[in-house]
Amino acid sequence: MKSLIRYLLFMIVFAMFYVGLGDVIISPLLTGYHFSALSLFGLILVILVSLYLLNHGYFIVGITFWYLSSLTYFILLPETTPSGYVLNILIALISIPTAFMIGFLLAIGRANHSIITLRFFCVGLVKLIRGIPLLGLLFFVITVGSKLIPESWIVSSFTTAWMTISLFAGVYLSDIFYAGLRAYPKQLDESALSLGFTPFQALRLIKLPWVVQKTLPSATNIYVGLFKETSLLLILGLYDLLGVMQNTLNTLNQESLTIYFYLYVGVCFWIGAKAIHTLGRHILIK
Amino acid sequence: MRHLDLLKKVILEVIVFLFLLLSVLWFIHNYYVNTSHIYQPLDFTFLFEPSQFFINQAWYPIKADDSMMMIFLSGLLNTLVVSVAAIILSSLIGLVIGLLPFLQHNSFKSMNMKFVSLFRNVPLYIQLLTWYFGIFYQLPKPEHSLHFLHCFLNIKGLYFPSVFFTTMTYVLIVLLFIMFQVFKKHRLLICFLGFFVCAFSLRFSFPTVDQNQVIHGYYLSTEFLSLWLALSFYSSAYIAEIIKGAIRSVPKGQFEGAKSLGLSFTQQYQYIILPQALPIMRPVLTNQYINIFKNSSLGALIGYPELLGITAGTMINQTSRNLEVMMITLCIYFGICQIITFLFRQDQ
Repeated sequence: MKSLIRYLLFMIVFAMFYVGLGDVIISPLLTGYHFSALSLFGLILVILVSLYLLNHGYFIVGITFWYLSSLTYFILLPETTPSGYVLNILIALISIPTAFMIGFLLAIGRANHSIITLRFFCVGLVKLIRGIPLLGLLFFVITVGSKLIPESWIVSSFTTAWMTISLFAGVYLSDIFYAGLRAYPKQLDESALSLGFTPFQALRLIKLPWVVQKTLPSATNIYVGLFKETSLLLILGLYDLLGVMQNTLNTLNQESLTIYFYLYVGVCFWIGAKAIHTLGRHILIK
Repeated sequence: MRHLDLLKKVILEVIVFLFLLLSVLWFIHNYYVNTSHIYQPLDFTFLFEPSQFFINQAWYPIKADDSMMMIFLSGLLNTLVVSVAAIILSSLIGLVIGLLPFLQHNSFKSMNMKFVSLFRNVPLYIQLLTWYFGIFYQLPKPEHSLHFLHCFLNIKGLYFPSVFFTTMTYVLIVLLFIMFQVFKKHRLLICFLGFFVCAFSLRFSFPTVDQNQVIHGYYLSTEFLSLWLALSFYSSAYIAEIIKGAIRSVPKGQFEGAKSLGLSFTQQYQYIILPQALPIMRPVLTNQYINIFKNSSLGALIGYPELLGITAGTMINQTSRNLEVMMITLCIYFGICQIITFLFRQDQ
């Protein structure tokens, strides 16, 4: 019971952060600094640290740390919205932990048997979003999304992209995590409780690592899909790699070069997706 | 103690329910506050009003006095046509690519891996743009169009001869059907002869170039072609992996048994291996087909008159009813996905 209440509290706090506080937290930091290569360096450093933490069993700390990595970019690089391939990588990097959190919360909500309303809500949300294409979700956010929140909230297109993509990927992840939770042996939970763990501790220290480890291969596919989905950022008005290349193409005004530009974009995405695949396999072998 | 637990449960249930209800009410409240200055209550009567625009390049063309509802149907028909075409082509390509590693030749194996790695790791949107702007957009103008075997290919699309049934064809088909049922010994001969006789009774209309445009014949637009090819190649990489995995999961004894019976490669796979692999890959293939249907919405970004493109683009501009139009569109997508899932469901 206690763990459920804790879970609910966590869900509410996360939902608040997710719905609009992303920009509210970021906005006071948007002063004073200018572009520097240091920001990207800081981002990579934070992600390396969080990967180290993840590798050594500190799951929640590591993921939160990764999640906060987006802030380093905004502290060091304010007012200039990132553009180019950096934007794709950045959105993918900060969407992966967010999608992970959404997926896990929805999966636990689906797997619980004490609060029926919560289960119905989670199942309904997953079924609904699985049934619509990402482009439909993006168009929905563009056309009516701004009318569903108070007018005083100004959500940047960066945050919109981050949240939409992570929600979409999170729903697919939740199905995978749900399958993992169904496969989780009950004896492990019982033995943990008999050793004096609280239910939340058992969830955090035993269930979560077990499920994450078992579902890694299929979750990696979703992460790759998430990275590929960042190619749609252009319709939210963000200048990602594709936008920059199209801009260059228009200024060059040489139509015969078109195919080489798109092939270049394709190669860039290919390298990124391959990197995530390789990383996933590397972690799996370890 | 038990009563206390029950009480706690009920209280938690009520809290969760209230929280969800309040958040939904909050969204509705916000919507009403934000649209109060234009006063737009939710109503769907615009569906019966005449649409003020044309959709010519559609399988079901729209005129200005057709109702708005027909636009949804027209868009849905376009989406379904392209997704069914992509499902068929991607299954064929996927089958060929998926069978390559079993051909006992190393170069085929690496070809399969290269194909899958190339088409699976590049986003569909980039592939679509490459097909459309990189290849089809560079084709010559209609007056200089490429032609081969009575077909014309130019920047507007692919033109090929159209076929008409004459009354003679219908009569012949009925006659042949009767003969097919009566003379059961000579079925092959009847099929062979019937094909030629019917072919001569058909009437063709060949496309011709006439003053900067191609007239007569059937026509597929470049948007349709690029969306079709991009979808098929993208999904065929996934389908190839599914087929490869399913064939690998067939027990090894089946392969050896088939070989020892002296069957050829095609016979082995046609009669023994694939029928056993099919039930394994069925649920995964269903998922992939649903993905094709959903991914076809990307056609909106290159101008293919497709459900999402028409409604979220043109129709919202026309009626300025954002919420209603998006709700109906997303419900249609959701409904079709549920129908596909239901149709392909395995009875257990």
